[in-house]
Amino acid sequence: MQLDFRARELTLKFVYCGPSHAGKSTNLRVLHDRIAPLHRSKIITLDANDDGTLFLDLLPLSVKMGDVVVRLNLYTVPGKALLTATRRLVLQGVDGVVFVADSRSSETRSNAESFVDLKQNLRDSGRDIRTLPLVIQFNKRDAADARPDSELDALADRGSEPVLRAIASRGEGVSETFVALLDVVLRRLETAGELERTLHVDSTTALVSITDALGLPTDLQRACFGGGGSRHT
Amino acid sequence: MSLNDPIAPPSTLDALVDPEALLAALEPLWQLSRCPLRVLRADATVFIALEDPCGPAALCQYVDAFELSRSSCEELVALTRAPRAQAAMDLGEPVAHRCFTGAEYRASELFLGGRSLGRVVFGPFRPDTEPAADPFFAALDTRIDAAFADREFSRMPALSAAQADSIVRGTRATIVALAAQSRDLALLRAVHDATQHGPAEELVRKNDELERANAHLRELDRVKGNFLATISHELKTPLTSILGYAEMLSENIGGVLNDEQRGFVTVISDRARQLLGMITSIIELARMDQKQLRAARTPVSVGKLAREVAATFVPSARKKQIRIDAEVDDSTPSAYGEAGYLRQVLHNLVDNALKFTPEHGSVRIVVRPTSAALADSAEDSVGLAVLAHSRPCVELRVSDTGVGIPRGERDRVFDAFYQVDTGVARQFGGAGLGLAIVRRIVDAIGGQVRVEDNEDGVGVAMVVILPAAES
Repeated sequence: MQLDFRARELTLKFVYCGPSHAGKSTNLRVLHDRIAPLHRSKIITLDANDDGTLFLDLLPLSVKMGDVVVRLNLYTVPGKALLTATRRLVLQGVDGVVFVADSRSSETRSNAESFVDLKQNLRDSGRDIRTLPLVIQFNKRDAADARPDSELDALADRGSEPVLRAIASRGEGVSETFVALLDVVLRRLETAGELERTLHVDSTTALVSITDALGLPTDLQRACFGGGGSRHT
Repeated sequence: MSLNDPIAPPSTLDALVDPEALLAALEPLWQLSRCPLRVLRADATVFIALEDPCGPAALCQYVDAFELSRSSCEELVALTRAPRAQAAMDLGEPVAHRCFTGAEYRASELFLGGRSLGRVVFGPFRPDTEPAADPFFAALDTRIDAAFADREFSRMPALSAAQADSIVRGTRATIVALAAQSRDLALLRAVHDATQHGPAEELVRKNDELERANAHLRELDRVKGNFLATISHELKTPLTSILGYAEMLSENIGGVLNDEQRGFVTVISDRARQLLGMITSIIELARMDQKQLRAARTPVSVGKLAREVAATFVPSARKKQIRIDAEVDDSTPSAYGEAGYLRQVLHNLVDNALKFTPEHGSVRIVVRPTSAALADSAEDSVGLAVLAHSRPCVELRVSDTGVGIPRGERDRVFDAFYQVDTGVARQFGGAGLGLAIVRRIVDAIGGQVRVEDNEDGVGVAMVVILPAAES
């Protein structure tokens, strides 16, 4: 979180992580297309000449709350295993992470490897994944060999973070994932007393203001695995 | 408060655009009208200005000659230069400002990445629909010569609203394109620099930190080891004496005891043994927090262990006339774990089952293959949905025909010192540590443990799922 008192700006950094080709950039593109130009900028893409995202995508969003401008910078990190240094760099100063996992059974191992890499990168930057707001998105729910709902429901109930379903290529579950992370981040800021200090509101009011302005849903129940998302009914 | 973002893109005109290059790029556009074109920074100071070298239009100089019109002009200029309220991102449509002389300005905000870099201010120019100055100007001061004002107004370059808007849009597009390119380059450079030079320095720093942390952990480990050894010795030594002397008494070494005395001594022995068991469990539980529990993961035959443990409990089961069986499916693979700890899991589960099963009941140990979603390591529950995956497992099920566990309490029985009902605890004894130890061991191995209803209808089943060793 960066707070510029003079400019009355609060900047939050969200990072989309996950294995190569899981759909991180697609998530950003869908959000870009869904949010009115008034509240979002173009996606900045630093890429190489070949396939996929080499470096990063950045989608800046902004919402005015009272006299404070809330800026949400959404980054993707490169999924390729080799680019650890870039991933670590993008993760510095992160306020919340969306882990985009590939639902296909064949990708289970690469999901796990990417998550272990995320944990390690955070640890290297002096951060602990257990205290960082995190949501997990299982993308490509329409894939033929997608892991069954029952398995992910059970795991979501045992795990400690919201787990959401998505078909990002069709735009399904993308907004819900973003809102789920925003919710966790705002609640964390509320607990730390930062929300009251900066925006003078509670997390529910902040969430509703931001999602209303961006035109995003707050009903996450349908997109959540297990019993998650119970706050939004 | 987290760290600042090291790759936050630069967001000021000075950081992004070379003023001389911008002047050169805008010159041809400016030549179309030769009306003043200014690019202002976000704080309204002038970044570059393209103006007629002969100075401002004669009308503007005339406006400056009268106090009231000069101050009105200053107010208008301030208005055109003022940042627009946060209304639009990347839109920056030109906004018209009309001067009291009838001349016009156009202002347009320069948005990049959702931030305002500053603005373009174009004008004054004469709208081509206005042949003469606005009479309002001459009305400001009796000394103003309306005919002179009209003549000079008509000499100002005339533009249509569409032409003025195009010049402003063209200027804005040029600046935003230059700034965007330079921002992307700055981002790339930040990523490149940090990934090329950062890691080596960081590695040295991390190494130092790790060494310090390691030394600290070793010291903590040593202190904890000493503490456990001391506690163990100080608690167990007196108990051993109590047990020893009680045994000597019961063997009549101190003289022949009558029946009542023998009964007292038996109570002393039983309670002392119970206390010793509890102390051993507490020490074991404390030891388990140490890391070595995680290290040992070798293939272990749970079926073989189950048969062995069942055999050791046969005498105590017989005392209560309880049937104890071990059923092992021969196709069960080996489990990952450590034989000593797995034996303890079995021992605690069977001990518990026997304790809570009334006379003539039965205890069944079942070992069979299954599959379940388990994580590779069970460090914590963060990311479980990603880390866990369906894999071959070994199911170890210890079911009894005992008093059962209410559904609402089935998770809590694995907490240390938890007893379902204090009355039951008093009746059956124990400190509520057996299942806590089971949970610690199973967690460390990366397995799961839960309570289910007994398949036979009465009592409960403790179900442990262990990852199968790869064949």
